[in-house]
Amino acid sequence: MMGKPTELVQGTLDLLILRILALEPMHGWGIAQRIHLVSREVLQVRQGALYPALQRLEAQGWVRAAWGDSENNRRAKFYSLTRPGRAYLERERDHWERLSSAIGLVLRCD
Amino acid sequence: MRLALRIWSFLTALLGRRRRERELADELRQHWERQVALHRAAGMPQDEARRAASIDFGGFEQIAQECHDMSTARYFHEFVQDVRFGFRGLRRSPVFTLVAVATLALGIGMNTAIFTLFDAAVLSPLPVAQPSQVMAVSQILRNSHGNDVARDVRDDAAFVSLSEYQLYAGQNHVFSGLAAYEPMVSAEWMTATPRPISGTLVSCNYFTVLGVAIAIGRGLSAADCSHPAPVLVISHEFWQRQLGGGAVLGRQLTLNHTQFEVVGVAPEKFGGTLAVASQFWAPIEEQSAADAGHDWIPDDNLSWLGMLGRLRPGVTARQAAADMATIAARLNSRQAGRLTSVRIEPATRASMASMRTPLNVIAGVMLAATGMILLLACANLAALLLARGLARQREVAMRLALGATRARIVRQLLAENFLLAAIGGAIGGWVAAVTAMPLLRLVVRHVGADDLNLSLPAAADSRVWLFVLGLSLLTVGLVGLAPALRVAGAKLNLAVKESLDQPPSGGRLRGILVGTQVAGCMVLLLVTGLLLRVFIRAREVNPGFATRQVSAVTLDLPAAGYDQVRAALLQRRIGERLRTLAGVSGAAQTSIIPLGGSRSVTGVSARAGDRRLQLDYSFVSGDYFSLLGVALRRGRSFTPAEVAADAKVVIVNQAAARRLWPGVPAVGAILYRGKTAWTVIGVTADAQLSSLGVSDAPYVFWPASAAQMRDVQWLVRWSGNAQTAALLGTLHQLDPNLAATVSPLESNLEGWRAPTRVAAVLSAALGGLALLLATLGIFGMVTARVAARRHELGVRMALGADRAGLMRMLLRQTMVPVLTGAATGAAIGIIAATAGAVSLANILYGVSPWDGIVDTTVPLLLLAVALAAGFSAARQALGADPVVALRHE
Repeated sequence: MMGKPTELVQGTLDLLILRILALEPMHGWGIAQRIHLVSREVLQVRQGALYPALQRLEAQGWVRAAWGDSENNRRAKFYSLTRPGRAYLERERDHWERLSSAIGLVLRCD
Repeated sequence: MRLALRIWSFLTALLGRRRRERELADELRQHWERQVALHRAAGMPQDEARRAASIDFGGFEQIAQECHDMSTARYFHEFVQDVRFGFRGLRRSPVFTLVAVATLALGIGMNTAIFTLFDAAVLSPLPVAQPSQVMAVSQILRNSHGNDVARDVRDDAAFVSLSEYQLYAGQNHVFSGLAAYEPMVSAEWMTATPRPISGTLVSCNYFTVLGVAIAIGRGLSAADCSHPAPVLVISHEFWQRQLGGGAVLGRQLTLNHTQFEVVGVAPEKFGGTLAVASQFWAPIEEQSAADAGHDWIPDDNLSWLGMLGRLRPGVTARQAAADMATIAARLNSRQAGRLTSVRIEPATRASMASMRTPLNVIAGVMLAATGMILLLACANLAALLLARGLARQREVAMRLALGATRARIVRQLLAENFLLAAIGGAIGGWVAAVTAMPLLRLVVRHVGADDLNLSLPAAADSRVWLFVLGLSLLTVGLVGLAPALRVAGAKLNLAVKESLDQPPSGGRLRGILVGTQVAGCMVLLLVTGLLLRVFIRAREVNPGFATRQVSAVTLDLPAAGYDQVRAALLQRRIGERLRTLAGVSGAAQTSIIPLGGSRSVTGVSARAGDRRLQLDYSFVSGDYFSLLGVALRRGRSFTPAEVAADAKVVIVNQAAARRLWPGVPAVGAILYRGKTAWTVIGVTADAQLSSLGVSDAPYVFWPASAAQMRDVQWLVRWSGNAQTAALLGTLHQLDPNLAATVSPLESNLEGWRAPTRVAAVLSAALGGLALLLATLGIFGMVTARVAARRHELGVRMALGADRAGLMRMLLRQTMVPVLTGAATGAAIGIIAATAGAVSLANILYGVSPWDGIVDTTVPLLLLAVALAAGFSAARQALGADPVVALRHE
């Protein structure tokens, strides 16, 4: 269970959102749900953190928003990854994997 | 890509705040509904599902606000808020706003006006097609060491001869066309009353190269130059004003006895490539007809043609210069010792160095003066803002305590200043940019140059608006930042509790501001004092020759087609008739009218081959000196026999005698001009014949012999009032086609005095303004200082301190920054005077720049005004009832 995403390492929520959007364009609720499911219901993203983060990602040009029809035939705002967003995601994912394996090594040492 | 996206996101965020908020609300609501649906699917009843979703959700408004904080539009919306806040603040104090805006408008306006004129004359491109491709091509000649390459120059030393132009035009690979022009050719236009007309002689590709589309008829064609025929293109203005704007093609205009056929009219906006308008354009081949009596065309050693070239597409100015340099090298190989270089610059109305240099100097001096005024206005306004800011210190402290960031508060205070500068800049800049040209025309008329037709862009261009914008922003920075930081840096607790022992805040900054003002004011006032002295001197200066009751009669015999023999005959008859005319007491001949604006300069020496002394000269008749009342100190004047025989005799003035034969009697000495020897027969007193105020210029007079008869003018002395009409009638009888002008010699003095009057009036206005600003600044400083210490002063007075003592203390504190500023200003003035003494010498009419500095009137005046301002402010403040002052707060 994830109360406040800011308790995570700074910028981790951004990384999660970008990774989910790399699969397919999605609306805000879908992103939150997908993170929840993929993390085997460990992580739950609160709206109060999700929408400002989406706003920030959009302002930085990593995410693009467009209105489209959702699965229940309502107009919803769909977010998709931009090309610079994808590049950023690749960079940050490498960075994160190096970091987490390094932390793992330190934690497992006897 | 990324940048574009960010800009796009910023712009959409900016423009659609409402829409965005609505969309966000929509999005969040949908999220909430899905959450409800999710809970329902898990089996919750409707009410419970809703409540659970709402708990998950958190504060709706809070999310919306956080989203807004994340978006880029935030800064803009905050800025709009700040500006609104500033507006409210300014509306609350209209007097302050009015004073501040007026001060700024004045400062910015003055600078803008000067810059507008400078921009129009020097910076703005020519009124031609694609002006950025058009280059001014200059040729610079130097001598290699030890070789003397003599060169004659008309108009500008960077000009070329016709043969050089043809070489440059024919052999270059970089210009799609290279045109030549001889600027400012004056001819006599023969109508019922002959009138002067001023135009340009051009190569026949001129209009093609410049891409000027002729309005009516045609431009000049290659055939006009290959088979020279007297044709011309006239300006739109000349066509409308002088020819009545009717049918014009094929019309014959007689210029100096040559008939020219009008083949075209230039478009309205094209007045030539100089700041002075051209009335006609004729082929260079017609030069000897237009510049009557002279033939420059075969002279390979004369610089008389300017060059304008249009670069081929893709060719840079640097490449063009390299190509032209190879042609210059060919020219060097033809003449031993010649070193030629070619310079290529974008063409403007001030492409001629002989025009640009003085324009740059004048603009520089003017901008320095008006910049000083703006600086004073800024210092004053900064002091005002500081006072206002200190009054708001409690409010600022309160907001800091409530959690506002200092950056935000500085931004807020700056926004107010930004508003002031924007309003002041807009008003001042706009008024100045619109009125600059009419003002210039007014000044031109005032100086007495009515016939000077200016060809400048009518409207201010983007450069002017950029200048206004830059100046306004600079002003915000200068005026607002320091007080804003000062106020926002206020100590929290101190300001909130406003303790009794609070030190007078902002005193040091205010002192510096007042000191700056006084210093700038001092410099401007010293300059004003100097210029006023110059003005008075110019009015009083005695030129050393008689100007009253003397008329100058100017004739243009070459233009009227006279050769030497006929000219000599006519001049003799004119002399006979003039001397018998009623009211005439004398008539003399001279090739140069005293102080008439034109000069002849030559080099002479006391021994053949000596270093030559450069001096002015004229050809005069024997009675010239007695007519002008110029005393002969030694020797005698020319006899009629010497003049008739073209004897090798010469008269010099004392200045020339002193320089050429120091300590030796000049009469009887031999003077060399080139290899010709002349015997000195007389020495005259020094008179200011060539420039007013320069009394020790060497001058030489040669006899006005038969060879000079085409070029000499007449000076007529009257016993009573000048009978100009009778004189003109007499000349008309002798030759109806002769163009003649008669003007009182005194009017030449006016021509010299007018510029000093304009300069004196202008600087007096600036100096007065500076004094006013400084007075306001000092008054404000004392008032604010007293206001900040009202409490303390009230306590002191209540405890029995005497008013005189308090007054002395306040005045002492006032005069420290004032005296410091005054000393700094005087020091700057002294440094400037020392530096400028040499270059300004010939416009100062013999007044030394030191005179104005050493004179104590200006400093004393400034100090007296400062003292008065301080005293009256202090008196007003101390007049308050101590009980009221104590009760305050």
